[in-house]
Parts: sequence; C-alpha cells; structure tokens
Amino acid sequence: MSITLKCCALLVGISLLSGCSSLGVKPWERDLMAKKSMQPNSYPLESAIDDHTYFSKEASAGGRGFGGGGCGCN
Amino acid sequence: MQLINKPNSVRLALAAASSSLLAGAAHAEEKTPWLVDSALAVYSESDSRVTAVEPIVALRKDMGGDRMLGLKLTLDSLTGASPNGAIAANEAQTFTGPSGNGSYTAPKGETPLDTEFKDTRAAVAISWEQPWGERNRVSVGGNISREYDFTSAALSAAIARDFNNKNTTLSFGVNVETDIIDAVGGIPDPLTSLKVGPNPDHKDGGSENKTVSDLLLGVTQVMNRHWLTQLNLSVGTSSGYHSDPYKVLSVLNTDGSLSTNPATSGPDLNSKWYLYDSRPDSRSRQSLYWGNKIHLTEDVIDVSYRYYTDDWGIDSHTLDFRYRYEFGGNMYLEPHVRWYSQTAADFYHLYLNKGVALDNGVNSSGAASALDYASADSRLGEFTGTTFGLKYGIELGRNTEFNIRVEQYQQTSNAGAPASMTALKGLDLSPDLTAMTVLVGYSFEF
Repeated sequence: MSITLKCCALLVGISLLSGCSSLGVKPWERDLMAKKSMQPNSYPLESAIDDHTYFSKEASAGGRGFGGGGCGCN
Repeated sequence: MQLINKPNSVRLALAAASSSLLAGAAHAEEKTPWLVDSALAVYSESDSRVTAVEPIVALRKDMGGDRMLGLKLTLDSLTGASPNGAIAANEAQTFTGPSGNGSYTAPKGETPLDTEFKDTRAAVAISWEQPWGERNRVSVGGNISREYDFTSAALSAAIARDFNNKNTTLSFGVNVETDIIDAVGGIPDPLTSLKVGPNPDHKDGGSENKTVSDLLLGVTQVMNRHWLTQLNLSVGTSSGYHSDPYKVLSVLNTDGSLSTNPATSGPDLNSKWYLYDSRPDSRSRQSLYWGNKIHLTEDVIDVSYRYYTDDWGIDSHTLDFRYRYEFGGNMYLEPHVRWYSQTAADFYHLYLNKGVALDNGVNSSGAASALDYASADSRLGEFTGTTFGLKYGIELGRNTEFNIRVEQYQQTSNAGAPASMTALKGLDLSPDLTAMTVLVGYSFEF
C-alpha cells in the first residue's frame, strides 16, 4: 500500500506543480497539441491490440488505461 | 389589441427563428461523419506455436453537442500449440488433451506443447462520452466478450476535468469486470494429478467465476508548446478463480528424471506425474504509468515508463520509445523499441520436486509449510521481453490514414535446474519465445 501512497503523493505533487503559471500554453499556442500525433493515445486500436498481446504473454497489465481483460488468455 | 398582438408576433418570429436554427442544427448533425478506425493484426510465434488473427473495427460519431457515440467490434482467432507447463525431459512425454479426446507427444528434449489450443473470441464494446458542465467530460462504456471457454462482461465510467486554461486535466475512472471460466473437460481440482482420459476429479459441467475491479487516477499536463506529459496511477483487485485449468507442473526425481505417478489405481492414470496448476483466489495490483509526447520541429517522440507491482510477488518495469519521423508527403516512419522485465510470482516453480509437501495432502511428508499454490506458467516466471518494430503511415486526407507496422517480440528466461539434476543436462528448460506481428491499420470517415 505504501507504493499506492507514494504514487498518490506524486500525483498530488504534479497537480500542485501544474498550478504554476510557468507551465502550460496560451490558447493560441495549442497548434502542436492539437495534432493527432500529440494525443496521449493517438492510435487506440493499435494500443488495444498491443495491450491484448502483452496481457496474454506477460503478468502485468494496464497503466495507460484499463489494459487487457475480457480475455481468457491469461 | 395591438399591445397584445405585438408580443405574439415577436414570439412567433422567435419561434420561427429558433425552429430554423434547430433545423440548421439538425442539418449540421446529419452531416457529421462516422469516423471509422480499422485494424488487422496477425501475430505468429516461431516453432509453430500460437498464431492469432485479430481484426478490429471501431466507429465513432458526434451525435451533436460534442456527444460521442462509440462502437467497437473485435474478433480474435487463435490456433497452434501452447506450452502446457510441463518441462522438457530426457524421454518423450505423452499427454491427453483437455477434452479427453486425442493426445499429443513431446519428443525427448522438447517442451510439451498442447496442440489442442484453438479458440475464437468475439467482443463488442459500446461507449458514450459527453461534456458535463463547462470543464468536465464524462464517459460510460460496456464490453461483452465471448470465446469457447470464457465469457466476460465489463462496465466502465470515467470523468475528466480541465484546469488551468485546459493545460491540466485530472481524470478518474472505474472499471468492473466479471468473467466466467468454462474449461474444456471441466475445472480440475488444484494440485491433483493429471489424468489421462475423462477426469473424474473435474467438476462436472461446473464453471468458475472471477471479478475484477480497477480504479485509475490520472493527470495530463501540457508542460509547454512541445511537451505533453501524463501520469496514471492504477489500482486493481480481482477475486475468484485465477488458476489455469489447462496448465500442469512436472514432478521430478532428485536426478531430474520424470517422477512416476504414485497413484496406481485406475487404468486412466498418467504413468508420469504432473500436477494441476493452483493459484491464489485473489490478486491486488498497482501500477504507475508516466507517458510523454514531445514534439520536435516536425517529428514526435513518444516515451513512457510503467512500474507494476502485485501481491503475487510480481514486479515489472516497462520502457517504451517511439520516434515518429515525418519525411514529407504526409508520410512518416516510426521505429519502436520496448523493453520489459518482470520478477517471478512467489508460487512460480519451473517444476516440483518429488517429496514436496502439498496442502491437499498429496505426497505430504508432514512438513510444516506445505505448498498452497504452484504454477509453472512461464508468464508468471522471471523473464525479459524486448520488442523492435517499424511503422509506416501515410495521411491521405482529413481523418483518413493508412499504416502498416511490423514488430518482433522476444521473451528470454534464464530459469533452469541445478547441475545435480543430471537427467536434465543439456536440455533447454526455458526456451526463448519469438513472435512476429504485422499490423495494418486504415481509418476513414463517411
């Protein structure tokens, strides 16, 4: 559980950090962020297939989202 | 009269104007295209092991007001041979398939592979996503998956909230899944001897269940014009049947030779001794994922790290790196490297020694610490996995793209036996797994 607590602390830390005005961009500076290649998950089907493959071959799952699951392969 | 009529005319005019606006909006809605994303993956392991063919089609449509409906259909066809958990031996090994019909033989020195491995899976998912207030987006989804011996249903819900001029997004999601395992030949009792032929120990017609719950807390931050970072914390628990009904463990003599089945009654007993897989009935896991997208002048770097830990004793690290090289003409090449490393589950054993005490009394030597759980599933062992891939993509128009990706995945394990097990000398007890994946993707709108 200590791992969970540490991770929570890290998340809270990042959230606080994000409160700093030095981070982020103005609305008119979002040109690059709007591109498909800059989306957190640009190719969701590719990710789904990869998650499924690794879920069936490795003991770990998830992370980026609710990975794996729905499959009797592991 | 005029005083009364005037507001009426205004009301009529307003009504006419609003209805024409609504009609305009409806007209606009009709023009909203369906976004289609499709992919076909062919996964093939070397040494005629598993081959999987997986087509997926996903549809998305803006139903107006930024409310997105999503539908996804996945098919998955598996054929080939899969390791049954027993290790290579200095003699040929014969097993009956889980159905009780037919048998397969592993030649001397080769890892036994269950050749009855064959399955087809179909999964349907539906999702709905919409704004909620000015700064939130909510989404709900459902997923049903069915294969010959396994049925799964899941529900998920998530909320994301924007802060700092949409530079920060906090998200929270929950996913609940229920699985029904209906094993071919029934569910065997854990750590009992593998039988030949129909197994009287199997729970007749019985099925087992598992429920899985996951929570995900994430923050996405625009660091600057070129850098997007994402941090996710996932916590999950599952309870119910986690064993693999098709996997066994070899029981070996002190010299490494196959142990003879101690039970002598019944003609259907396997002459060599193998025990069925047994795993805890719960599992709790946590993972931390850190993803980054970095836009250079034209190219994009995607680099991520994941740390995973669970109460089965498995810790893993995953590093993933992609470099999207834009070479003009709306085309790109993307090399990909992934490195994965995991420790073994506490109850992982490459094999069991004859004389080991089991909690169900089999072969009990009266030892204080009898084995509750044991599995020889290589996926629960210690290994390293590396992936090398290359993707080519071309953008053909708005929401239209074709891409093809080729990847090689290799799993390497050092699991072996001590030198004192002379009967295993020279045998490869944990052969590498090598697989190739070809993935073709095409997205368009209509």
